[in-house]
Amino acid sequence: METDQELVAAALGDKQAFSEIVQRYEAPLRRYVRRLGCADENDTDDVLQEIFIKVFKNLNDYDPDMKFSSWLYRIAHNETISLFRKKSVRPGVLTLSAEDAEGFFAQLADEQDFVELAHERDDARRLRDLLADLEPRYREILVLRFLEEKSYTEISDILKIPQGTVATLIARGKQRLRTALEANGMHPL
Amino acid sequence: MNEQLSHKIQKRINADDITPLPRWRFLLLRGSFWLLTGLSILVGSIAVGTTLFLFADDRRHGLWATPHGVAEFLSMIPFVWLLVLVLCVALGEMSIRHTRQGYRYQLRTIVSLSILLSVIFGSLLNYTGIGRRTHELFRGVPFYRSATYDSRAAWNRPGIGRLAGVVLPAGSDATFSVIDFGGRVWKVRLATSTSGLSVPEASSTVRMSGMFDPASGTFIARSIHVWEREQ
Repeated sequence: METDQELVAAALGDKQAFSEIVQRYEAPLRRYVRRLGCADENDTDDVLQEIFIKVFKNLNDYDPDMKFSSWLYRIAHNETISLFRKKSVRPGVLTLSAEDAEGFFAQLADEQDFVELAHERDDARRLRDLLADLEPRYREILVLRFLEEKSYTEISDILKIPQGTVATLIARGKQRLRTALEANGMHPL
Repeated sequence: MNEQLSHKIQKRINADDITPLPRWRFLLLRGSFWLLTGLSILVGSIAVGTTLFLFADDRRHGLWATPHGVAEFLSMIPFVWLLVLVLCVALGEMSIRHTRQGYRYQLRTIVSLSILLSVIFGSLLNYTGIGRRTHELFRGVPFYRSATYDSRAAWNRPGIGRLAGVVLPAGSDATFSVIDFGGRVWKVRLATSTSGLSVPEASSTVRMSGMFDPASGTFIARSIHVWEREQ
């Protein structure tokens, strides 16, 4: 299988080769856009098109010092946020499956400073609502860390913030989520 | 679904004849932010250099040691140049953030580094005389003149006991005349209460502390120092 860098080089020489990139990243980006709160299917399709067109136009701006996926996620993040701004709406209901919620809790429980969550860990709907209620900057970073399972370096590259700030925002986001969980009867052990 | 989206995108790329933007445009953009960063450090350094010169100038002329109240003390701080430095640091921070990997650095790292570089280069620039030349260059600008402390004007205030100027010839053992920086001639008498004072050499530039006696229209000098040339 060709590496991302090889695909980029190929797409710069041949437009048709760009389809490979689209096919490789459509599913993860679609999931990410929806997790950011783009609930409408048509909006998701539109924003995905805009993301990939922007990626194609800016292929020469890709910095090989960062992961190609981080660069794509950055563009996806910016395009999705700008869609929310254009429509003057808050991110909608998060699309969070039961597996998402389970994975999210498992990731949180793995964090040393976050206590394991009890029997209601499969309550996807309530978790989804609590996440949606978080301030966007905390929600975005928790989604990247615990649903997209990105490293601190990748999150730093995606959101264009220093790694120290990533750590701070994750810690604060977790604290707020913990408080919200407790307030909603989802008690940690 | 995959093929459908990639197909749609290919169709749009072909229909709108979309091509990747040339690499030089991105290089130019990044380069302009680096240029802006460099420029902000250069101007910040000049601001620091001029600030250092003004501090040294006021110290040289004995003003830091004898400020006339808090207001004068504060007015000796060159806020104009400190403001320029702050603006340059802010501009530098903004432009470095727009370079490829500038976002990886904490705000405090960028600000500290920017100030540190401005202080290092500013000290070097002051050493080479840029601080004085910059001050001289802007001295003609009315706003600048009113916003910066003028040590010549500060020594042209007999009313609060300060007088400076060039000593005129033909004085006596205890009296002489000076022409101040504004061209006005003053009669000066050495204070009898201070020992060791003598009439300075004619044509020398001096600064004197003392008091003005309105009855006789004479400035009574209690201390006399050579006016040190601006370096």
